[in-house]
Amino acid sequence: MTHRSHAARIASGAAFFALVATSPALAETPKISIPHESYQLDNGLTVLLHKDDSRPIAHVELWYHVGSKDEVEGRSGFAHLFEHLMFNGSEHADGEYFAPLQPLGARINGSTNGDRTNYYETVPTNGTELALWMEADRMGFLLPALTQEKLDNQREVVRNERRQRYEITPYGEVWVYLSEEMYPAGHPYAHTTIGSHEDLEAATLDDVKGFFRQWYVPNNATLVVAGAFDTAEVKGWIERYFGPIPKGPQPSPVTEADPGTITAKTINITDEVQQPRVYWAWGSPGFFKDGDADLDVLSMILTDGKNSRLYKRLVFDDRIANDVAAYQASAQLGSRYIMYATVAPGHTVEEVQAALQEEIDRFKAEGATADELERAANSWQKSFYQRMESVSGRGGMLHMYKNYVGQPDFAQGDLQRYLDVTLDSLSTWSNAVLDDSKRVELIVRPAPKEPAPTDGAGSEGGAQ
Amino acid sequence: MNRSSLSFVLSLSSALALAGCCWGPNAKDSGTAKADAAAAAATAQTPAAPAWPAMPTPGPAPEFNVPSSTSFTLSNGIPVTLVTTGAVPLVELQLNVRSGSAADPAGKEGLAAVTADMLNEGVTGKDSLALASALQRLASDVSLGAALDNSIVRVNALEDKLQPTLQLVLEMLASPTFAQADLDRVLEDRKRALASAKDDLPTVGWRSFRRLLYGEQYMGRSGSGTDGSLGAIKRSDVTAWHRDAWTPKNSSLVIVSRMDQAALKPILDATLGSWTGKPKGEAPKAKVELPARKSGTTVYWVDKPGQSQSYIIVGNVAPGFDSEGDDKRTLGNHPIGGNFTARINMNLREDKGYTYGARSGFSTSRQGGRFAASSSVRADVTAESITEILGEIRGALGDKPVTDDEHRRSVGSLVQAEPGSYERMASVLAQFAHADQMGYPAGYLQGSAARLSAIDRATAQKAFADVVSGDDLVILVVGDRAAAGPAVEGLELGPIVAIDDEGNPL
Repeated sequence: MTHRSHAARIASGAAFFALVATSPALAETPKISIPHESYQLDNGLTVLLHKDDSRPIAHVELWYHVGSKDEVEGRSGFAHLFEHLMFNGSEHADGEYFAPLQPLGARINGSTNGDRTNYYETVPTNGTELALWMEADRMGFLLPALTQEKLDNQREVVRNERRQRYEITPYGEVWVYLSEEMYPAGHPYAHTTIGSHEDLEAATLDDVKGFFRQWYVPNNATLVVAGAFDTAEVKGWIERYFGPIPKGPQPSPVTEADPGTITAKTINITDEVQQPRVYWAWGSPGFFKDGDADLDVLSMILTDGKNSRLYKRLVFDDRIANDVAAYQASAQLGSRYIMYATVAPGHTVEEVQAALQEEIDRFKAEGATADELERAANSWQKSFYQRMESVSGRGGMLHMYKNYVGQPDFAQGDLQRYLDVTLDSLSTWSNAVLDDSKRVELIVRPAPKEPAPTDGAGSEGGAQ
Repeated sequence: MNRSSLSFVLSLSSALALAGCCWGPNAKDSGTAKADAAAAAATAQTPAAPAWPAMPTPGPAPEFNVPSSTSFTLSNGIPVTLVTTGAVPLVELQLNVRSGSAADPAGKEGLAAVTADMLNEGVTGKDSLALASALQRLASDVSLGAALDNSIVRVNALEDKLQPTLQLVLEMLASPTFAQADLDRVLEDRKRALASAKDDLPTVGWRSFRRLLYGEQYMGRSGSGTDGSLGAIKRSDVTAWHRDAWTPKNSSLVIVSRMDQAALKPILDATLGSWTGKPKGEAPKAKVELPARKSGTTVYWVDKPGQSQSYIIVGNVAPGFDSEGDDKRTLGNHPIGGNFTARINMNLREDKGYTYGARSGFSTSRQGGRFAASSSVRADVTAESITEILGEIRGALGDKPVTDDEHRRSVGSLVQAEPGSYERMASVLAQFAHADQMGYPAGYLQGSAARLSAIDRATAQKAFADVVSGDDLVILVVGDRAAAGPAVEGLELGPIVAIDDEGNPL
């Protein structure tokens, strides 16, 4: 973008924010929107195009509707291991996936979580066609380039990712327990996305081939292109490169699962850390379900800023904790509401437990204040502006809303979920979710490590 | 479509592609060649099946101009750099104060950081909680901290909340209360954070590494202090540091906003422009003498029993920022360890499977820097990983110099990343605020692409070799000494020196 001193007093905004650009003093909060065109190829690939020519960049992102929830017994971590193999060459580009795109200054990566696997390239516009070709080649022709050597190598890389992110990271192994202990055996979320060393070692080439044929078909994928492009041209590329890939048998990702009944329990583990830490976790409503936004707002009221309930009590006033955090870990089949506090030197686990209990009980009995609710709403409003600033942000939002809500431009609807939270709804959901009789407690105490557990967790970063 | 016949055709064209390939904007001919070959193959083998289109060859980079800035001065003399850009009603702003933790008084390490913390702990008429509450009601984020050469205020606010936000920032700068009770709490929080930081292997590693290179000066000192130095900081130290360092004369402002100078200046003058400092002494500055490169190879070890990985750092002292050499060194390193497909990552991760990632790079501050390669590797291949890292650095300096193709790819990677680096307002601020801190010459950011494109391979390689020697490398391991130490001793790089969490010899 060039210098704007001769432009209007307010530089013009991108299309999605046109209202503000013409009238900055407008008192009414403008609606946010991600205009897009949606269509399907004959092979079932869903395409979403969001055009924004304000900068010469484009974001290409694919979601495959498969995550670690869809893994079979004995193959925990496989969806993520597979994601790594997508970066090691396909038939017509049999080398590092990064190699052709990196000289264009592209930002490239992928990630896997419980619900889905994504891949993306943010490129200057001269790289858009290449990015589409590269994605199409690995969607259509991964297996001819697959070798045992590549599988063995990425298996080691992923096991090192597990060591780096869960084993040597302080308190990193709690995620193993928060998966195994919060869902009944066999539940799609009862194991973690990183998987166990044992299962990763057991994965075979045949597993990779079977997984690819089952899940990596165009009719189980969504493609977003967001940014600067000529619409007719980009549609031509998409048809040319993705069109010939044959449709596969329609896969059936897991869409619901019985959460079972969580009964209160305490798990004690140890880690190479200086201070004990207390985790409390509860089952909670799924991503975008009723109550999901209320619990996000609750997290702000409890632990965002010096005046938040738990921070002020445990860290600021009583000085019994080094830190405290609470958040809704939203997921498709059902979420977890998690809070933790690190016990301060000279204080005890019991002091922290008592203070957490007292503040939660107080909140459940008395509810939030109007002031707390207003501060939270203002913060959410601003966070949406920040997320929508980049084409990668908007592209990711189209994917997320399509996947979880079935409506790609749900930006305003999403923001509205937070603006619609009331004192009553907060009270209802905090009482419903923060139930003492269904609370899973995990206490980490400092001690030499026990033998490494068999699993890890959460959303996995991809190739980089 | 018949998938198997299509695959067969494509495997032929792929063999050709591999044989004659060079990626990137310069590979103008290979696309056509591949398309022809694929078409020929299709004709010969399966006339009915259309050929898989050849890999497209990217055209020239789209035109992109790094935004320019305008400069003006507030009524109290603070120079302002304004970049008018953005697509959302936010303002991103940074105040750079030219005294940072490198200038902490001896024995009071952490003073710059603690003073920055304390500006956020209450002003006349508002205690710490009331101040936080006022900012939260505006949905404004204000964070303060100290870097090596600067103390910093970072502000992110809604456009229509800018003035009340900056009014609160003004109060923080001009009338902080520095209450003793708040200082006691802040010092205790920092001691607690220091203790917890010992749990994290990379954090321990980098702190120790800087200490090994720079000793008791500049980046060798702990900007977050030590138990002892934090214990020595008194309220009078904080008020004195604030009085002499935090002044308009010692500050500059960088702003990214949709608003232009005419719209912004009245808001700024009414707030930050009315700040007057009353310094008694000179603003604190670090006196730095760049230490000599450590000679030879020495292995240092911070023992962390029971950990399944070792964190390895290999490197040495490097120069501070200079506008002539910085790009050349960055470019010289890029194919060796500055990106995913660089040699060190390809070797340790994609070939050997020793790690989730490995890299090398320069960290450059105004008055000094360092070069380092680093990786978190499986504990039982610590020695092998050190050997491979040393091999890549020495190879690049010796019999495996960077090739023309690697160099071209790196130029493209750095130059063409520009549009993405200036997309979000926070990214634009990061670039211009860094330029302000480092003292970039005028037009330096805007000239970056042209400058990088003009550097040839030999120049980049020489710039790298001028500051990195394969014979002089400090090697640091944070990990299980009992498990991984013996094999490292077997490398015969010299005796292993045991050090503590902060880089002190044991």
